[in-house]
Amino acid sequence: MTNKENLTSETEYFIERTLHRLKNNLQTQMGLLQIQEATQRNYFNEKKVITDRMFALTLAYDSYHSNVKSDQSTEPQLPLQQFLSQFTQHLNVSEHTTQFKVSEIDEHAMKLNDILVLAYFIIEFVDFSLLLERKLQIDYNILNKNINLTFSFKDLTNYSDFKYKYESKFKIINILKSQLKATLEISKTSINLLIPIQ
Amino acid sequence: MKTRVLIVEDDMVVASQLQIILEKNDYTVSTCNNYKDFKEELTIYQPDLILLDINLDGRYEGLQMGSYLNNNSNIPFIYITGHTDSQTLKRIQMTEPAGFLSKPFREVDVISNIEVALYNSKSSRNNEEDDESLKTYSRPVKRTVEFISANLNDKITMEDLEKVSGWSRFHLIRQFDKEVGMTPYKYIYDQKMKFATLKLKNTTQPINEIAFDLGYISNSSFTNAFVKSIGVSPTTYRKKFSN
Repeated sequence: MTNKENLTSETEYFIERTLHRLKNNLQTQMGLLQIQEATQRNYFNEKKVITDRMFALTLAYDSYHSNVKSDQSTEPQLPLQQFLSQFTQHLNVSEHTTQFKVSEIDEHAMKLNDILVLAYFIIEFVDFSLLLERKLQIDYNILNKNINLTFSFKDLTNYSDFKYKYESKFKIINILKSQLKATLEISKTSINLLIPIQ
Repeated sequence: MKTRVLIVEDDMVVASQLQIILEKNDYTVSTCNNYKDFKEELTIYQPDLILLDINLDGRYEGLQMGSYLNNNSNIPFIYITGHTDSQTLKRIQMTEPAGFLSKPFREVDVISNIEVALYNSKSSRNNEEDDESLKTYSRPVKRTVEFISANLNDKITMEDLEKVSGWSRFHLIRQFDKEVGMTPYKYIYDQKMKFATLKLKNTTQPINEIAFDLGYISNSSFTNAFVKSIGVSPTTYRKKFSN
């Protein structure tokens, strides 16, 4: 096979893989809308939620484009902190609701699909912050081989009845959590999402 | 009894979406996300149909499951995938699925795919049973039965059947009745009603289209024939089944 032919087949393979990924991601968007309708998950700002999901897709694919190599056969790993930092910046441009804090600089990578699921998870909490009229803080650190994201709302001191109070809203959150193979812990002072590092 | 569908999908959002769609449309649903659980579910849950993601956990496990089903069971299965390249499609076809659901899909795509797959599966089982009984018929009667089956959507005349069998009208009617247990006219009528009940049960095809497919020139002549045979109108029959 000549170099040119080789390059064409690699490019074709890359395009096919990206197309497949995109179709899967679009299915997830449609799935979230259907689950939202069926579980009566009413958003404070539905338009913002959908816009943010679309922006997460754009940002993740920008990162994918910068990080993937056409000859790469395994799923590309994208820099997580960089994505979260850019994504929360976007969330703050539309509404000044979210603060993202990194307690240690130790870049971890995550698969494109998982990064998107995490972004959708964060969008759910941003909607809570609008509903509660409280700023959301997301702290990022590494805890016992887990990526630990701590969600807290400004001046909200007790989270013990949070899940019970917003039960219908937690149905999507629980699905997204399972997809990430993560654990959700609700303590008195915060909500923690622990994602195992692969 | 409700139709049991097994969803084999490792994407939780897609699995939940499918579950919502199916339960809304009155199916019973079970889900799993790997080969081991899939094999267990086959025995325990005994699904009537399976929705199978091709690319489980980055591997092509779904195709393995499809191949297993093709070799070991008669359960119809439908693949779910975002892959539409010719290579994957070739691999898919080799395992003989009952359908193929391309992402992103809508509710109507899921339901119509399932209905068609269930309908085809039932028809093929019925055909196998018919093939068994054909073996006992004499050659002229066998040719007549096959002609009726192939031309069910057209007007079949006694002249046609005389030509196909090579017998005189009187001899054909007498011999057909002796071997099949009913006259050719009654047999055509029964076959049409059998086909109509399957379509009403398993598809959402409008009743006037079913009537047309069976060679009836008007909706009312089909309804009259259906009431005479089944005892209720096609609309009532469909409602009864969907409830």
